Amino acid sequence: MTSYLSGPVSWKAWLLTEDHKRIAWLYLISISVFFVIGGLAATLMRLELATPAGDLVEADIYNRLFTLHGTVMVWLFLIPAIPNTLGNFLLPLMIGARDVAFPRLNLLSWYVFSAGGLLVLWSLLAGGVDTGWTFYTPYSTTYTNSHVILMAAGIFVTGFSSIFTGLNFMVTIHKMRAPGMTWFRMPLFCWSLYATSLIMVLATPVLACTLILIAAERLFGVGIFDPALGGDPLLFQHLFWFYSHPAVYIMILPGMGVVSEILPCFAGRPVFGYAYIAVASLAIAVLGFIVWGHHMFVSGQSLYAGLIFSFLSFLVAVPSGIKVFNWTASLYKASIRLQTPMLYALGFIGLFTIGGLTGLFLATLAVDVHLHDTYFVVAHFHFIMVGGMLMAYLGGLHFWWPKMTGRLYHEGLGKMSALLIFLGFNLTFMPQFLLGYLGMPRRYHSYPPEFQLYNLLSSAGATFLAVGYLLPLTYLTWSLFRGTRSEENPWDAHHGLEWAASSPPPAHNFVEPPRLEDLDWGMAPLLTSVRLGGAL
Amino acid sequence: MKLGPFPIWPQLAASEAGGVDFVTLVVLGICSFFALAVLFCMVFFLVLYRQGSPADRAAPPLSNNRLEIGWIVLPTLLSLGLFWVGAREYYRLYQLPESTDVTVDVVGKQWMWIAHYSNGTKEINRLHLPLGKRVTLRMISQDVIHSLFIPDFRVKHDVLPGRYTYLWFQPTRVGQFRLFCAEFCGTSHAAMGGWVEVMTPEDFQRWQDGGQVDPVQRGKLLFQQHGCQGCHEGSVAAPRLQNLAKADEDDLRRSIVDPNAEVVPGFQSIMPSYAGRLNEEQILDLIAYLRSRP
Ligand code: HEC
Ligand code: HEM
Ligand SMILES: [Cu+2]
Ligand SMILES: [Cu+2]
Repeated sequence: MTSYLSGPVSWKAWLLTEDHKRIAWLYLISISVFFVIGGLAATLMRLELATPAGDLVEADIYNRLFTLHGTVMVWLFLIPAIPNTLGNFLLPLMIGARDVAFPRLNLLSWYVFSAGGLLVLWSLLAGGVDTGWTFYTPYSTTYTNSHVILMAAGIFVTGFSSIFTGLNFMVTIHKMRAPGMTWFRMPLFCWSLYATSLIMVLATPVLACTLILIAAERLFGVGIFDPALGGDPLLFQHLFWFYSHPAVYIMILPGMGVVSEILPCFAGRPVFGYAYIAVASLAIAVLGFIVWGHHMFVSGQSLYAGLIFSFLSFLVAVPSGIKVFNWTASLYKASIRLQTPMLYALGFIGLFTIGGLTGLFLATLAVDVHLHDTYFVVAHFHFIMVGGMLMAYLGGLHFWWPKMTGRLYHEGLGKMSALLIFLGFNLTFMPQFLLGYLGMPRRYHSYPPEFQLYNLLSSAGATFLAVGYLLPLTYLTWSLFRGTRSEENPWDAHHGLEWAASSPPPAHNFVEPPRLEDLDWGMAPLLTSVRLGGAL
Repeated sequence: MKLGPFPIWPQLAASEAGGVDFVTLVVLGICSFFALAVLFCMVFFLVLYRQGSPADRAAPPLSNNRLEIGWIVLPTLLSLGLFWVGAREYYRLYQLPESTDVTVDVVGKQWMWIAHYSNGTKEINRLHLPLGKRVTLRMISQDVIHSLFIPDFRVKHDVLPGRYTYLWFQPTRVGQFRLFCAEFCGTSHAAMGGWVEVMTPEDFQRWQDGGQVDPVQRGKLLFQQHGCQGCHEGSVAAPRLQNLAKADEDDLRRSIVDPNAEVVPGFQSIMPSYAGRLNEEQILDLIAYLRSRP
């Protein structure tokens, strides 16, 4: 069997490939580039913030940096990060399919994504945008003279790639499962991808409409958001968060899925509460649509709307809690191996828990009045998006790297970087909670001197973090060429069809469509989930 | 409050600040409980069930409906409690009282706060307030959305164009407290702040009657009106004018009336001379202001 990597290797073969595994690589490379760009912007920002004075870059540059950082990290890195790389690679393997339902749409999705990404980069080269990733009106429509339209166009276009991928995954999961792969036998990663796809398909169009309205006001002076033209600035915030709150779940659900796969493997036992974790993913996706107003508690929306949104926001925290409790319980009577992916997964659980719990501070109305738009919010979402999602992404990458490449990386370096990232992360973002409660507003180019100590700690932590990210970039790349060859199932995973395929898998994944009844390679957890599924 | 060099808690300087802190501590208590419980269980299991340890691993449970229902119901109930505590305080913060003692009109515009008092006094980036009196701010923006934030009072509200929004509080401490703009509003968003100055009611009265605006304020106004800000806080390559507290006043004066006499190393001599355009009183005000800049 030749592997998917050793088929035709010309540029053309790669750029026109319809193989979900190769498309995953196209995405992996693109988002890595964007991650580096976003990271550079963050580095400059942290350097600037090391001292209270705005002395390294001008205010206008600083404002462009945080806008660039937010936009690139959210839309060009985090949203596609797990679904389009690991998801693309693994979904068909996990459900025993040869490919996704629409392979060509999958490739188109990457082209559309790249086109959108290039538009965003163009807006950067043209002089950047200074509105923040949130594009609040009327600043973005009437007052700023930066390149809002270009960047909005870029995000608009990448939105279609989200929609394509979401559709593709949903149809794949509905239609392409191998015989015997019932819903409640599916790996939890697939459940999380399904929930994510649901959000992508339902929420992204709202973002697209909102961006069009911005363009209409900015280009043609149609009064929608600017009161000077007869519009309403809060309307924008409602529309924006109607997309962007669900979008934050696009940025965490796949990470939860990855952790739900890594954890049982290295705990040497099935995950605890499979069905509860699976259903919690869906609950999060659905409830996520009705809490957007918690971003607007001090915006001037009605006091009673605030009450309702706060109430609902507390509810959405419950399914996240369920997951954390079940993961923890999955360590009970386990046989735990602390290898690199497991270190990342454990780091995820810790940091996500803090991120989620600090979400409760923000959902608590009176507290949010004080904390809104301060560094506390910055710390909250970085704990979830970087401490959570990025850890999960790296964990997943390390977990499935042998499967994707057929090679093993250096375990010692892997562990070291996981540890470095965990410590660096905490040093960077812990102080920001305090900064926020002390009252330091976010998006400040310079700040009062009494805030310097924590900012300095934060900048110091960012240095460790940067090294922590560069390490995997180097040793993983190195392992591509020099790593020892990996066998089919290097971690002795006890579940997951992907481990039944060779490493790297052949172009069509399975020589014959797998029949679940026939599996005889120690699939205890799958069988237990069968039992569970039956009970449900 | 400080712990060694580490500031850990902001001052409490208004009537509802204690209430907000109380809610924060309740949330902190409940969240810490869950965080520590999860952490404890994780570490405990990690040690007990590390590979090769002699622990009993017979028949690991796969699910337990009782447990699941427990950890669904308990957090739900606790969060409803949190919701209630937070909502009550929010209502207090945002529901305007029937009557107030002082109303100040606040206009936000890129990038300053302008306060108008009922007697005609007007000031920029500074808010003089009487101790113990109920104050209502009536706020509106000239341009984009801003947000008025006084951390030591634990109050914040967005300031919108085209519509009034309100904030009320009752200062409980004499002193100076920082005022920020919390909603990103463009280039000098970070510079759109100042001080709230709480005075005893008698001092406040005297201040209002005498129009005793302090020189720093007048200086700041001049700094904005004469275009200094455009260069020194804008995108022009000009010194940021920070840490001048101990600068010599003659030197500062010379920098204003004869900037080319001594050009700051590393900068072009593009600053215009203000000789004849500013009188000495104004220059003194400017110096007072320059020295007050952090
Ligand atoms: C056209 C831009 C521009 C304007 C307007 C301007 N400055 Fe300057 N200023 C500069 C530049 C450039 C320098 C540094 C070169 C120099 O010393 O002449 C400077 C230097 C200074 C210095 C000396 C700084 C030091 O560190 O020693 C002071 C004080 C100062 N300006 C105050 C003011 C004040 C007060 C105003 C308004 C009344 C003002 N400037 C208006 C551009 C400007
Ligand atoms: C566990 C449940 C969660 C709750 C209750 C919660 C609550 C909140 C609240 C109330 C805010 C608004 C704070 C403010 O602006 O004043 C907020 C902001 C934010 N949250 Fe969460 N959150 C949760 C989970 C998440 C997750 C999972 C993510 C991302 C993966 C996330 C990402 C964000 C982001 C990006 C913002 C700030 C957006 C901005 O203003 O730029 N949150 N959260
Ligand atoms: Cu939200
Ligand atoms: Cu502002």
